[in-house]
Amino acid sequence: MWGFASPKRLRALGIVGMNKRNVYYIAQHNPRHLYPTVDDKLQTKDLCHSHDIAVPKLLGVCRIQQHTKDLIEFLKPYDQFVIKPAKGSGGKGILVVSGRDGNCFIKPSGVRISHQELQRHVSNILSGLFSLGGKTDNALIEDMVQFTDDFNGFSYEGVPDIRVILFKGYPVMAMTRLSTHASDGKANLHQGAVGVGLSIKTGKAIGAVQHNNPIKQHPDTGRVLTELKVPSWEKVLLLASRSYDVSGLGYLGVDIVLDRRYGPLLLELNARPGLAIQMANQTGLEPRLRWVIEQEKKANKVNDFKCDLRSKSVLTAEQKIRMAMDEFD
Amino acid sequence: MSSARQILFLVVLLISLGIGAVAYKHLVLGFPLISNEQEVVWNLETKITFDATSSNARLMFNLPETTLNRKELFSEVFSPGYQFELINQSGTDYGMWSTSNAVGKQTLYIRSQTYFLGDPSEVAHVDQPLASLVWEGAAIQAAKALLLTVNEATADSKTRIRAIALALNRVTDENAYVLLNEYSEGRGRQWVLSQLLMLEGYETRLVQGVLLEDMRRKQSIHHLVEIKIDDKWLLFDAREIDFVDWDRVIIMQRGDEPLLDVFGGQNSQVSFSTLKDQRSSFTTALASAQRDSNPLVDFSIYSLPIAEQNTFKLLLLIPLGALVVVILRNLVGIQTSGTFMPVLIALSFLQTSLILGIVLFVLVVGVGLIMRSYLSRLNLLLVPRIASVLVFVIIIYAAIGILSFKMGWDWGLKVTFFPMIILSWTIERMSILWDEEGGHEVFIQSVGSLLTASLAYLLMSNSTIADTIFLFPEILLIVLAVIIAIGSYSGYRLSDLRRFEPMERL
Repeated sequence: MWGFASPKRLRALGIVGMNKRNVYYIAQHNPRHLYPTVDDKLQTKDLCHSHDIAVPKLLGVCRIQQHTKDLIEFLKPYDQFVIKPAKGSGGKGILVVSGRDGNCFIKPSGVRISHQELQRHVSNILSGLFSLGGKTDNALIEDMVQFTDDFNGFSYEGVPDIRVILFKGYPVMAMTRLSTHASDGKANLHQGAVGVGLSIKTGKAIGAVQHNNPIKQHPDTGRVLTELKVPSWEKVLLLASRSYDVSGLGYLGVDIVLDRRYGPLLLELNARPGLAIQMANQTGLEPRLRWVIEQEKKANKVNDFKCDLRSKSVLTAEQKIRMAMDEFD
Repeated sequence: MSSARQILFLVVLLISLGIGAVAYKHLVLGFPLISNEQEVVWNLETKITFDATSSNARLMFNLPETTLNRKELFSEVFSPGYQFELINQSGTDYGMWSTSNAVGKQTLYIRSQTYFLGDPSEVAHVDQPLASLVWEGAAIQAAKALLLTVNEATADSKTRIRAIALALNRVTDENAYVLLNEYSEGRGRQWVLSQLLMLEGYETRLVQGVLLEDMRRKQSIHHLVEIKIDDKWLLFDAREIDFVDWDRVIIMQRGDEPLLDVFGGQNSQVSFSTLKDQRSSFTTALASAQRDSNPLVDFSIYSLPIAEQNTFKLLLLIPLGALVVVILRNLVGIQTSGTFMPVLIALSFLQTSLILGIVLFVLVVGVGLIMRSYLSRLNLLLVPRIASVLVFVIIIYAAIGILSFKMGWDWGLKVTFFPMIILSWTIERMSILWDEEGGHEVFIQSVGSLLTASLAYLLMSNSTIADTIFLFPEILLIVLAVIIAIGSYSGYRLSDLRRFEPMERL
C-alpha cells in the first residue's frame, strides 16, 4: 500500500531486512577481528594463495609514494593490468588498463591516460583517497581478467561478476551483476547495473532487477535475461564455498569472475553483503539461512560436537555444495 | 545469560530506575511533573573579577535589594580565601570581602535564586532619594528645543515618554547630540533621559539592574530609569525605548554610583549569568529536600554553578537528538551524511533558528561543494584537501557574515554558530559521493541529514521538554533504554518495506 510492502507479507516471503542482517547475521556470525582479512584485498590474496584458491595473478604491490616514480618502468612488460586500492570498497578507485598506445595507457572504454595520470592515481590510492576512513593504503597491481564470452549480449560495456552469499560455508543465494549504459560499465547495482538471480542448483537465471524493479530484458542489448546460464557452475560454487575456510566469516559475500584461461577466480570477499540479491532471486534469504543452521546442528550432533552456532563446521565444502544444490532451486 | 536476555534485563532495569526516580521526585519531593509557566524562578550568578595589585584587597559590592515583590530563595557567596561581611548602610545592603593574600587574578561569585510574588507593578514605594535636575542655562535650552520636536503632547504619559526617548535616540538631531555629548557629564543616555523627564515634571530615579533572560551568560549591568506615572513607579529602558516589567529585572542599585568598589586591585569587572529555572513548588521542594540533605538533590546538576548549569541544560538535550538519529536511521532507514552530524547541526539551529539555519547550511555546503569540485581536479592528498575545504568554509563564513552585515541583515553573522570542522567533512563526503554515486545520492543524503537535524531541533528547542529533562535528568535512563532496545531491533525498517515492495507484486 502507498508504495510500501506489508511487513507481514515480507516476513512470509522470508525477506531479511537491514536490521536483521546487521543484528543477527553479521553481528553474530562475523567476528570483528576477522574483518581486516576481507577488508584488505592484499591479506585476502595472501590467504587465498595459502589455501590454493584461484585469484587474479598479483603482479606487484605499491606501498610507498616514492615507488610511484618507478611504476612506469615496472609496468613495462605488461600491456594489460588492473590497479586497485587494497582497502577500497564498492569498486572505488579501480583502474583497468587494457592496452597501450605509445606513451599512453588505454582504458577499456577507449579513454587514454598519460603516465602522469596513472602515477597520480596510484598516489591517490596510497594516500587513502578510496579507502574506508581515509587511511593510507596499498595499491595492488593485478593481471587483467580475460573474461569468457558466455555473457556476451547480457552485459553492456562492462564485465559481469557473480556474487554468492555464503552462510557458514553453504552457498545460499547467488546472482550475477551485469553492467548497463546507466551504470557506466560498472557492475554496481546502486548505479543501475542489472542483478540477475541465479539458481543454486543449476546456475540458470531466475529473475532480474534494475533499480529495485523487476525486468525481463537487458535494457541496452535487449537480450532475454532468463536465457542466461553460468557455465561450470559447480566450480564457481566450490570456489565460493572454500573461501569460508579462508575467511572464517559466517555470513559472507563472495565476488567471482570467470576467466577464459583460468576458469573462476575469486575477486573479493565482503563481510557486509547487500540485500538486493533477494529481489533478483524473487525470494527471501531467511528460510535458507535457517535451513543451514539446522544442517549444521545435525552434522555437529552426529559428530558429538557441542551445538554452538559459532563452532567450526565438520562438513567439507564439497558436501555443503551438494546439500545446498539439492535443497535450493 | 544470552545477549537478548541481557538487553531485555538492562532495558527493564533502566526504565524502572528512570521511572522510579521520576516518581520519587514527584511523589515524595513534590517536583511538578509538567512545568508551569507562572511559577518562574530566576538563578542569578554574579561574577566579580579583578587583578590584585596589593595582597590586602578589599571590595564592596551592592547586593540586590529584596522588595516586597522580589524574594530570594537562596543566596550564597563563593569566594575562597576571602572574609565576607554583610553591611547595611543607610538602607542598602553591601557585601564586603577582604583578604590579606591576594595575588594575581581574583574571582568571586555570588549566587542567588529569586522569584517574584504577586502583581509586580504594585511595587512598594522605596524611600530612596529622587534624581535631581542639574541642568541649567544652555542645557535647558537644548532640552526644551528637543522636547518641542516631540509632537505627542496630547497622548498619554507612556506614549510621550517613548517619543521623548525616541527623539533622544535620533542620531541626526542636533539637540539630542548636544545633550548626550556635552551636557551628559559622562553619565550616559539614561541620565539624560531622566533629566529630560524631570523638565517635563516627572519624578525619576536612575537604577541599575540585571535583565532576566533565560540562559544569558556574561551580561553586564543594565542602566534603567525609574519613572513615577500616576502614582506608580515604572521602569524604562532608554536604549530599547520601552518599558521593562518589574519581574524581568533584578534591581542591584538605585542611583548611578558604581556597583563595585575595589581597594588594592584594578581591571575589576562584574558580569552576570541568568538562568530561568523551575517553578516555586519545585524550588520549595528542592529547598526542603536540601535541608534534609537528600542525596538525589544534593548530588545533582542543581548543585553546580549557574554558568555550568546552563551548559548542562544544553548537554542534557543532546541524547534526545541522538535518539532522533537512532530512530530515523534504524527504524525509518533515512540516510544521513555522517552519523551524528545532524545532531550537531541541530545544536547550531538552536542558535540560528530553523529556517535561517537551513538556509545558511544549504548556502555554506552548496558554495563549498562548488569550490571543492575544483579541488577534485587538482588530485590533492586527503589531509591537505580537507584542510583546504576548511579554509574554504571559513572564507564562506566570512563572506556571508560581511555581505549580510553590509546589506543590513545581521542574520548572516549567525553562520559562525555552525561547527566548521563538521561542515568541512560534510562537504568532503558529499563531494566524493557526488563523484562516485552522482548528484541524486547527494540530494538524498542532504535531505535526510536536514530532515533529521530539523526533527532533532524541534525536539530540543521545545522548552517544555527542555525544562522537564532539566528537572528530571533521570529521563535520560529511559532514553538510553529506548536506544538500547532499538539497537537490538531486528524487524524491518520503513525503507526495507519501500525497497522490497516489488516483491509483493511478483
